[in-house]
Amino acid sequence: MSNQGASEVTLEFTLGRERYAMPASAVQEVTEIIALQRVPKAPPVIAGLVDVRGRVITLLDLERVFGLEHETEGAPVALILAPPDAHLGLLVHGQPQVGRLDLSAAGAAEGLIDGVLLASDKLYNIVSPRRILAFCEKQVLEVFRRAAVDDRTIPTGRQA
Amino acid sequence: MQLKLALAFLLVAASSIVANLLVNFLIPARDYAVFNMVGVVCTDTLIGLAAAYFLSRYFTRHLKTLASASQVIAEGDLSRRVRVESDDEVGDLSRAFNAMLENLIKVVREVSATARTIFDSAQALSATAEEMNASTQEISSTVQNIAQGAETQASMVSKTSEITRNLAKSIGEIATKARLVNEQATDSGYKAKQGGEFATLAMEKISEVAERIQGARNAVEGFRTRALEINKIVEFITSIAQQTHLLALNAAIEAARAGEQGRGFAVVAEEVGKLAENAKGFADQISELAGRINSESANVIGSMTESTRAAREGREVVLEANRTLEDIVKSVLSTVERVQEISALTQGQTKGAEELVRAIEEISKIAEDNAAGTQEASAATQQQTAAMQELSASAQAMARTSDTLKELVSVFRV
Repeated sequence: MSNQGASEVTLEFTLGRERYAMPASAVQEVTEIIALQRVPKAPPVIAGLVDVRGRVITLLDLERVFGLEHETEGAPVALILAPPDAHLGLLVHGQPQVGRLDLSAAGAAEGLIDGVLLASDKLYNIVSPRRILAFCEKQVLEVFRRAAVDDRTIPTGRQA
Repeated sequence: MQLKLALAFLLVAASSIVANLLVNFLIPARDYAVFNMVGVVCTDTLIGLAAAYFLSRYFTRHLKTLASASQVIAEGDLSRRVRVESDDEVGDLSRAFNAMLENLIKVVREVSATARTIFDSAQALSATAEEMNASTQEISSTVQNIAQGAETQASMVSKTSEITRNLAKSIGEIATKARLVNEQATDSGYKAKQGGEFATLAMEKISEVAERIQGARNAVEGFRTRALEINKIVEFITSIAQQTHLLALNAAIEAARAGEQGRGFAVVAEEVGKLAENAKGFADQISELAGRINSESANVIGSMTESTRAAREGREVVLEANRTLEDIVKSVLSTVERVQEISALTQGQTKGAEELVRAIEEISKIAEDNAAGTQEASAATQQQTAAMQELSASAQAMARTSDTLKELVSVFRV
């Protein structure tokens, strides 16, 4: 916050013990999750489907994306992504907060993380929907591919 | 005898004359003168000698018989009799001699018989004396045994007396202690009765406490219900705060998207978010307090339930205690009765024991007298024994004397 002009509004949340931050511009809105509909045979990163004011949103479980197993405390909330990814949402736990961070000061990107930022003695993993969505897409495609192989090689038991 | 002597002398004289005449006739006259003188003297001498010889022979033959008889008698044979059948003095002497012998035999026989009788009597006396002596010794030893027994009896009676006195003393102590027990039992009975009353009171108090606990429990149940209600309300508030927070968050996102125009709105949104945050914080605190009230109420209710149960149990225990105390009162009353009976019995026993002591003292005196009497009897029997021994000695001496007498008399053969 020392450089007011370079800072931008971020949405901050927690996964496990780590702090994460995402540009608020990537998020359209934050909503409660009323009724999560699970998707059969979906990869673990797909948390399920949720109805937000008549729109069906696919929720991606960020904990699963980062290899965690429901370690975060608090009620689940959905971060509905801004267009063009408005049909997707990120499922996180606890209460996200709005803050201001100088994202340009973040370190080099690695894996799913865009960079690491130290601000006000707090360490933030900076993330953006782009890398996450790419990872999830791979996962989904992998599942689809495996399903196609299974369908070819293994006849369903129900036919017998 | 005189007559015989006269006749003998006359015969001698006549024979002398006849001899002279015969000599004168036979011898011639010439010779006669000389011869006459010598012849006469010789003839007369011869005749005189013959006469003397025959006369003495005649007169002394009975005396010789007597003398030999006397000799035999002197040797002790009294069976001999003198046979002299003459009417002279020698015959008289012989008869008198025989009579004397008869009398002597009688005397000897009587002496002998008497000596035998004395001997027998002495023997019998001696035997009797010995028997009596033996009996007396037996009596003496028996009496000595009795004397010892009497002494033992006296000492035993003395011991018995001592024991009985101790017994009497013990009975007296028992009586005293029985009185004490009586007093204490009466006191215990009174206290047990008092305890029973206290137990009843305690029971009432415990019932009251139980009722109050029940009332308090109901009140706490009310608290708990209210706390649960508070929790529900707080949950509602929390939900509202969360929604408010989300609204503020979305408002902030929108404001950010609006850029510079949305800056004022962003501040409002931030404030709203903070308020929502605060509201949630307070709601959480209230929730925690309500939760604590709830759990503590549950604890209190648990304790009170426990207390009620304990009070009920306490009531049962006190009830039992009351029953026990009633039983104690009954048994104490019974004890008092028994102790009073014991007291009465011990009084009787004390009297009996005193009488017993007196009786035993009398027995003791009698036993002492008996001991003394038996000692005297012992002494008397000892004296008697001595006398009997003397008697026995005398009888033996008498037997010896009669023996001697018999020996003396046995010289005579009758």
